[in-house]
Amino acid sequence: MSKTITLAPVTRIEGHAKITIQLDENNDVSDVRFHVNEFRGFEKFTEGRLLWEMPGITSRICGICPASHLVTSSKAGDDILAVEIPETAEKLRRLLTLAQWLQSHALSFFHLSSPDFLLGFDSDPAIRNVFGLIAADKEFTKRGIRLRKFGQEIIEILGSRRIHTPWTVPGGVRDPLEPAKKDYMLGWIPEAKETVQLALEAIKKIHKKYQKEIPEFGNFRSLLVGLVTKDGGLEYYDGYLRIKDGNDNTIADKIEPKKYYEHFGEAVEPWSYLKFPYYKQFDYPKGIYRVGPLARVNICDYIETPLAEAERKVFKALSGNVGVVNNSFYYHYARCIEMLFAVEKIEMLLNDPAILGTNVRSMASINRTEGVGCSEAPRGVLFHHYYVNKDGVIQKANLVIATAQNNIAMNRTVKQIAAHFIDGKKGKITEGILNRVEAGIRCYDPCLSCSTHALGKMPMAVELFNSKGELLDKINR
Amino acid sequence: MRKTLVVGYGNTLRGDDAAGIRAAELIAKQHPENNCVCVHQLMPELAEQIAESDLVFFIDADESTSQPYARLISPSINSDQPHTHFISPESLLSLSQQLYQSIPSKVYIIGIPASQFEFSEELSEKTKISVEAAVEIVIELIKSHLNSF
Repeated sequence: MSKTITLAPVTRIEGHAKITIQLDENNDVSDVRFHVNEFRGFEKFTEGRLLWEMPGITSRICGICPASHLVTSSKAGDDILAVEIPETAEKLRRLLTLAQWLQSHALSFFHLSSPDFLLGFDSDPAIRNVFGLIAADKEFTKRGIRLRKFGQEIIEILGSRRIHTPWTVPGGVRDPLEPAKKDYMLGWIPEAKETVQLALEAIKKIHKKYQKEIPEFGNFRSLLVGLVTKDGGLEYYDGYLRIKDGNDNTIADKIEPKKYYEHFGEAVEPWSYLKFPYYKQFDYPKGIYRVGPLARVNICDYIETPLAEAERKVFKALSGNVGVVNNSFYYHYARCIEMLFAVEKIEMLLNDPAILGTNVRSMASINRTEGVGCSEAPRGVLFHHYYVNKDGVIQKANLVIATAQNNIAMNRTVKQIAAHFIDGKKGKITEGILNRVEAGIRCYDPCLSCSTHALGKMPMAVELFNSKGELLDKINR
Repeated sequence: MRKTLVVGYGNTLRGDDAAGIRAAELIAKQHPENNCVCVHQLMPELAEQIAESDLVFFIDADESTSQPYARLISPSINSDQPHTHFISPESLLSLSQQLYQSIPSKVYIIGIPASQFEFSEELSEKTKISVEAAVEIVIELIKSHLNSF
């Protein structure tokens, strides 16, 4: 009798999701699906709103990466106004984007994934969390919280509010940076750099400790997509799209982000509300691609900051002769490299005299009826595509989020992990194995944060169904 | 100086889920002497601010209640809810205790009745009224706490 094992919701990711594991007649894993239960209805919700409201509205979609939506939405607005924003405004937006990377990556590495790494996949789930981490290494935990706080403080200083700040706008930003605030942010740099170096030391020990797990953690070749600078460097705010395959061949390069829709399609499946973006030329689902830290560090030719560039070379050496690190477990390593880059680059930006310029906004009215904004959110490349009427009222909006772009890859990752670790003949899955399946998803640090968080709205259960759809077992975690 | 921290949280694009934020905003406007923070969800870095406060309120929407309420809480590691993105107020208190060896003398959860969580920036009528009632509860509790010294 075939069975379906349902794991819901997936813990320590953002939002609501579940995983079902389908066993065949021989009790071997035949299929695994990562379901997203929340409907991202924000595109419809924004129709009829003014272009200038969009950064403020879309940044409220997500509690984890609001600044990425803010910046990308503002860039779509720049396109519709047909303006070039002032140099200072671009630098300030870059600073905001890096602060977003830093706080989001710090949360992902130190608090969501480190419990697995430092306490073990098979450790007691009751302590496999931030409290277990405190017991194991209080200083490490505290440093992780402070690193995230640094990123949050930059966002707060720039936008005067910690989340959902409407500080960036079509045409630039609202306010210039005050010198005293710049100095305050610079004061954080030594500690932040030290903390990221500790994270890098930790991840290298983790690689040695989990040699058995790593080869099964989403180890497959796929396309890798992200922004690079004009000359191929790591990019996060502007630049061109580059697509590489898992053998280090460049499939496409110098793609204008505005033309993303010519290259990427969006499939839908009846069992998930999350779209399944794919590379059109390879069709669905063969057009599977990955975005985010693993893709970015793989596809760029160099990183402009010295310490991060040195780490990138160590990272690339993991690929052996292939030239591409294809294993999703190394998302964590790439994330740590990006944290280092973010700290170094934040320091560079703050030391740039242009950051204190006072010309921060280009004013214009509606000059186009269509615009695309693109930037690298912590989880990968993000697109906002708006259509407006002559008064700037949104007629249609399309938001292509990073988490969705990793959707096919996340499904493939959990299938690989489940097939390797689950022995269906035993008819039982240990908590440690379920956690490994979840940990496969956490490599991508998915963000599904359109959900409500009200008291009493977070159910938590593992369900087992037979082939007739009958519930065989249900346990609460 | 006895510090009071008011944390309102929720998603302001999901109807009544914004109740906690709306209440915290009202308190900030009417009583600016209190430290009011509005967040999408509770996060570990709040632990430091909590550790530095003497009185703390966590204000959230609650679909299981018909009346606004105040409930005293104490630190607790909620083992059946181990996901950091959804850290509970009790767990956050534990984090303050374990990381900074300090917790406020009193901490309340303020629950506000909520029923509509669809895409909207508006609160339902019942939740709107309940937000005002919840604000009154918080203000009374702050007064009574200050008078107890």
